[in-house]
Amino acid sequence: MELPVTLDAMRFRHVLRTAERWLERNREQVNAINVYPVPDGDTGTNMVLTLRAALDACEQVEGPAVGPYLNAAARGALLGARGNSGVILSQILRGLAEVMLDTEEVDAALLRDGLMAAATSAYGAVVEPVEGTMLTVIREAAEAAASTAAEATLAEVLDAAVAEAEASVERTPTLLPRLAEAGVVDAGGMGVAVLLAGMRYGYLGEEFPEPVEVAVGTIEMMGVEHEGHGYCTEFVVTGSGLSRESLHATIEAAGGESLIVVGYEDALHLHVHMEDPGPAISAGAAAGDLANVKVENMQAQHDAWASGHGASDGEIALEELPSLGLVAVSQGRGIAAAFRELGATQVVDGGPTANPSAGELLGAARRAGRDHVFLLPNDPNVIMAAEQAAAEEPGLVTVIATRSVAAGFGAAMAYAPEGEAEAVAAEMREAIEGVRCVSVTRSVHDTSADGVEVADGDAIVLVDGTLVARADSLEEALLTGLGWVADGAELATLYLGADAPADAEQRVTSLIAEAHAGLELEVVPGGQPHYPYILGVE
Amino acid sequence: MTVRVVTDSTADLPQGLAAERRIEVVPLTVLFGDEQLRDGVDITATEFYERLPRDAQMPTSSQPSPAVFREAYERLIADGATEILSIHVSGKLSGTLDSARQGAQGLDARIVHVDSQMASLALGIGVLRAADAIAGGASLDEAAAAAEAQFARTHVYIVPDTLEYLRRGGRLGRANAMIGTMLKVKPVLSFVDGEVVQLARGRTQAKAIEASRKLAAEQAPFEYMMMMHTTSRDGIDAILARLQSTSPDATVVNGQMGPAIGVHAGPGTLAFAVVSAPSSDG
Repeated sequence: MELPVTLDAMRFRHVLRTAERWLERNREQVNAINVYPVPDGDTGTNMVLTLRAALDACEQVEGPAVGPYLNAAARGALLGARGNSGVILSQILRGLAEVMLDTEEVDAALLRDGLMAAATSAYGAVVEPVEGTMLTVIREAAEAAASTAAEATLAEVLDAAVAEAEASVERTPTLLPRLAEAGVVDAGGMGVAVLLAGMRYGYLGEEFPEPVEVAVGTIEMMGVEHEGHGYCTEFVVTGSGLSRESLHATIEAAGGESLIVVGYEDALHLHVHMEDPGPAISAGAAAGDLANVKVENMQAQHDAWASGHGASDGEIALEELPSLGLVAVSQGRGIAAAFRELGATQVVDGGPTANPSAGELLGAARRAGRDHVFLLPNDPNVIMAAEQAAAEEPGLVTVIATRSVAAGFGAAMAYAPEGEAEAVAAEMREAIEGVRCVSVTRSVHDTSADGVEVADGDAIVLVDGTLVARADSLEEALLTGLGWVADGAELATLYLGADAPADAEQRVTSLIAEAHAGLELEVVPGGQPHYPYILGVE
Repeated sequence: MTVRVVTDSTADLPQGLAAERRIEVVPLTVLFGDEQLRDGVDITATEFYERLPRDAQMPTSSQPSPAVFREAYERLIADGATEILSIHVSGKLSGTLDSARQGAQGLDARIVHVDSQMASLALGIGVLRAADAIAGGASLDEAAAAAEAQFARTHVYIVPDTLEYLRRGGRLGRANAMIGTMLKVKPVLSFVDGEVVQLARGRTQAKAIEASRKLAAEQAPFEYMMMMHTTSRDGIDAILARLQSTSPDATVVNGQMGPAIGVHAGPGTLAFAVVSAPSSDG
């Protein structure tokens, strides 16, 4: 039978229905390898359910034109999206739909454009795209499709997309270390490849082969981080004039992780991992009407998944949580991310104008889920609250009295999650010794402190929390402060604040290179408020 | 009874030393794209590190095939060997040991394999210990036990200049989890149960080296100290001098990590290993 040159709504429906069936057949395999971002083993299920919601939503669409059909599918997917992978899948469908909005029938050229738009739309769903995930797979598949000859047929475009998607999946562990550690490919990426393959089977009218094989027996949970866990919260907000950005900002500020907000002005879909789902739900309710609210305990989910595997296969061993934990108080997104990378189990938002209470610190220490927790206050004004928290539960909390972010990083560098608490604490305290911190900000009133006369608006510099000088510019203040501590220093780390000047990195780098030739300088986007420059010197 | 010792090129044994003790060294292969070069045969360490930064392709390594091991074993058997002790790089880091086991199947000699759980000179010195034991009249089993006991007392400290190479080759293992990308971190790596693990970390290589030296000092006194580098010895002598002050009688072995190890360690890496003296009570 000759293959159709174009796809109308009926044929496209068949293609997507076939994709859904093929995804369903491979669902367990995709679930089995799900370790990123949280190993809860539901990626396959989420993608199938999302695709099903998309297909159900377009059952009512009449007429042969593919545009309205796909548009309904994309909206259906958005409203019914489950999990991170489901939300991204809904954005893939949205990209396809947007390109084909006024289209009667899809030809090869339009499919190429549609796949590209799908990739762009998928990337747009996340603030910080991670490579080695379904994003990479859809993008590389779309690029392969786009590079087919101008006169390529639908079959050739699909062939190219599927072949590249499968190759891309194989490469995911090289991009995402967590996958390599677990010895798996990315589950969402595999879902995308399966979806595209299913579409191809649907178009070609081919029989399904055996489901894709995955080496489930070799999955090891060792080293697979499952940060914080808490609750996976999802809901749909409907209303008018909804702002994706503002909902995103509100929930992020409340500590949301793996946060995705996507959708239209009249409907948004939100997915977030939080210790406490309350603030996310409140923010959604404030923006519009809530629907499809789902809150799941990820730890319970993860445990069920891990024990299910453990029971069926002796090779899979879930490593016990280490005995020690680390809680850091931080200001700024980049600084928080760096603490997490160094192994912090919890990061508490803090800083000069938002000092966390003893209760908040104790709560974070308890949530760490470890036998013993080191607490890094990272600010002179937080040390007392930290010590109160430790006094509440001395068996749980040890305060490492870091007076600055730089000292906090010094201590975190010496942190080890395994080991004897007292010995690790001693190492951490010793590590602080060699680290000095220079903080630069602007004075907000006329004052005199630590013997320095300061006028409102002056640039001022603090060394280890003590005001040492005023200056005419932030940069001059920074250099003055560095002058105090540069003797014998090897490495300076500059944390750029949220309101650092746009060209700060370049300017400060050359200024410091001029004044201190032998000093190695590393620049990190710290994102901290109030202090445009924080410089750790060691 | 003629017992011979076999190892692989990751042991980084100087050729003279291996030949002197009649140790058979089976080379791994280093690949630059399609170009296959036998470690230490077709490419020397010097040639490899010269080429590494200039070649657009990242090299990879591959284990010797079972056939290569078979040939080596057959050659030794033809030469009169009745027993063979084959000691290799950690099975968690390379498939070399699997190849060696497969290559030994059906051969007319007793062939015993040992997983050193080590690499480079930490492996090499254990192989020398076994060869010396055999030369001194020990049986294969006694020599294997001596080597294994030594591996158990061997502590390795690796301070890479960059983690790029370990990461790309997938050899970073569990150590990966604690090494971030926001801040530059110089880790101290080691082998535990044959896997790469992180022992400590510092912001600069100098701090990492100091941390590794402190950790090593806890293992004194030493029988051996093995000092290794990839491209530059800078810094090695300073570590050695500090370590020697704790163990003045230890034997010092200096060596360069060869191509097969260098593929994963990358340029600028310093490493050292100490073999603790056997404790007097056992």
